[in-house]
Amino acid sequence: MRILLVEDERKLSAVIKRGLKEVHYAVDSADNSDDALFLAETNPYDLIILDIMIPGKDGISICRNLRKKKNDTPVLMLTARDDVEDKISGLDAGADDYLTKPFSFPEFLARVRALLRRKNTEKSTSLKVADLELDQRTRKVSRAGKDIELTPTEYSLLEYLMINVGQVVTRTMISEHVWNEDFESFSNVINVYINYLKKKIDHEHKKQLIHSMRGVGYSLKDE
Amino acid sequence: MKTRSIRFKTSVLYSSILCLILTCFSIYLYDTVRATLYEETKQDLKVKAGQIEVFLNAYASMSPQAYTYANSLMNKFLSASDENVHGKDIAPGKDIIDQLWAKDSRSLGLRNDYFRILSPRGRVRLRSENLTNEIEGGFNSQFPLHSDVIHFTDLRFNKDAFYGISYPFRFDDRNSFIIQLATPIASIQQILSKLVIFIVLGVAVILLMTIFMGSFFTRRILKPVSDVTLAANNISQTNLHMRIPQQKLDHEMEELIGSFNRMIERLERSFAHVNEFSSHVAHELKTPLAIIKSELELALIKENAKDDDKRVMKVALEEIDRLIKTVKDLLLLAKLEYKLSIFKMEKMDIIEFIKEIYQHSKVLADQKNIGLEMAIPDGPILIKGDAAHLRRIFFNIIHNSVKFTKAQGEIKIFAEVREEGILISIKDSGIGIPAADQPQIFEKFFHSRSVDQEDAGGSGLGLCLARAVARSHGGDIVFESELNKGSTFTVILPLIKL
Repeated sequence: MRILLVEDERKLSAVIKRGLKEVHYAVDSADNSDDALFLAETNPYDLIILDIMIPGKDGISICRNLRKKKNDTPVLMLTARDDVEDKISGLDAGADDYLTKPFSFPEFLARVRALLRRKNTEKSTSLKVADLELDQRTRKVSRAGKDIELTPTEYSLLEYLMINVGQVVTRTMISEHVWNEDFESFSNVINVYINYLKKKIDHEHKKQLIHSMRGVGYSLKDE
Repeated sequence: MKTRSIRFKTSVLYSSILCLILTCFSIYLYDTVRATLYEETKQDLKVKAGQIEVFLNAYASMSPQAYTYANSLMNKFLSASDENVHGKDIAPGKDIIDQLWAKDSRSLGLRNDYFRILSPRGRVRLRSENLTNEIEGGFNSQFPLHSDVIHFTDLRFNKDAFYGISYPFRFDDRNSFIIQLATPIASIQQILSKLVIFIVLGVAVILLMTIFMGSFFTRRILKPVSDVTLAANNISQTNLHMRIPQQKLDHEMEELIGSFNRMIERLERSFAHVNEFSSHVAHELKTPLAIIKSELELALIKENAKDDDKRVMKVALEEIDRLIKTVKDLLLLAKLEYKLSIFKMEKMDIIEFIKEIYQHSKVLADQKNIGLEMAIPDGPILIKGDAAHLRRIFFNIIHNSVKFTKAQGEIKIFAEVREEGILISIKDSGIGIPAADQPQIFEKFFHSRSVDQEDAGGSGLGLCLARAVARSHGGDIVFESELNKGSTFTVILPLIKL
């Protein structure tokens, strides 16, 4: 996997690069818009990590530029600004995800993984992990052929976990995607909903699908 | 019209001044008319009395007998006995004098007048036919019996007003005969009362017109003021680049609008400054924090660190996280105060919203074995709000309630609609807030000393932020609390006006 990191803060760029290399990704870095565009056009990257405030054109116009040229490499935006409008303009420009500085590194890695995986999966309306099935059209969930009744919140949570099957999703990712918000007190709420889900999905089965990853988040996987 | 408005005051001022002027003028007018009318009556009476004198003396001088005739004419209406005495020796020619008198008195227009003639000794020598006893009594009491000068007086018989003259004259070479003549002045009074009605009505009409026109013109003069007010109200943080249009206006208004616009310009500059400043602060503080945090986390992920180093790094990381939260909250607070555009205000059903809050809070409360109840009116009740920021308010309050309420305690969420909006209260049976701390709980960085620091954890900005959000929605947060009994926080949010 090859990643382009566009970040003008030298030290931050260095630590991110080191962290990514640690988990065996190849990383190129650029610290201005010209280099970034040049690199993005010459090399086939699997992911571009883009800081919004960089010298030259800002990250948003770089992203727009790439999308105009039919470059659909996933883009993860990094920014120190956390206004909703900044977030919206970032996503409107074609970014796939958005992370505000300062971020937690495990959270960052989880998002990178999610984005890298997204590129390689086909979209289907039916999700299947082991004997757990979820139909996105009818919103029906069953395990081993047996229907499971879920509340809308539980359904959204399970759907999100299943889309990211095998990956660690952080609490922040869950609260942003399932509840559409990022608020501290939510981590407890998420815990409880995960427990509800575990009860309904894993309770009567030998094989546990939902796993808690201490200090990071949760993962749904068939192991 | 409001009583404290310039329009009202000007109208009142105009009208009072005009009222004063009109009153003075009316009094002067009334007085002059009245004096003129009375003067005319006086002259009239004087002429009539003079004519009577002339006639009587003329009759007397016609012939030696004529004097007797005239004298007898004067005696004509005396008592029957007198008439009998004189009646027998009425000299020839008396008829002529009678006829003359009848003609002359008609020409004088005495028909409506009352009169009598007194001899120097005060005996009544002649009276008009209409002179009743009652009126004569009035004559006796109002007129002097002996007088050498002309005398005027007001008289009143029954309910009719008269004006009278007492006119001494010469007859029979004697000076002190007196004609007492009274003429009705009903017509004068009629004219005067008509005049009063005319004046009162006229003044009223003029005053009404003044108030109406005055208020109309003041409104026209003051229109730029209301325009300026409207324009100024429309200028908020989101459109500070706007200016109040300076069209053709009165000089004073032009100056006012000019200074207004200069003020907005200064405001715009300082807002831009604050915005730029907080954006710089965001960048300058967050970037180093991001670097430290990432370095520490990366180091912690690696397995080869010593336990002691790991402990140090974990503590550092915790403190970095706290610092990050404080910086974020502070920046948000600054934005709430200077950048209203961070709110995405949308029409929303507050009842559905509270139900959702309740669902999530139930999870938090259940964990700690705290009972959570809800009593809210039926929806939908619409407000205009930013759901994400409002959630922050309620989670903050509920988070605190759960934190400060012991297991088996109780939390109630209830709401009621009042004139000022919807009041949503969260009542807990927690430890309460000491009275000494109560005035400060909304202040920045306030931590109650009664709560142990380890437990408090937050940035000390939560409630401050919550209140800022509520106020940005046109609402507020208030609370009541008693130590060891619990607290009730009430969020007030204005409803959408239909």
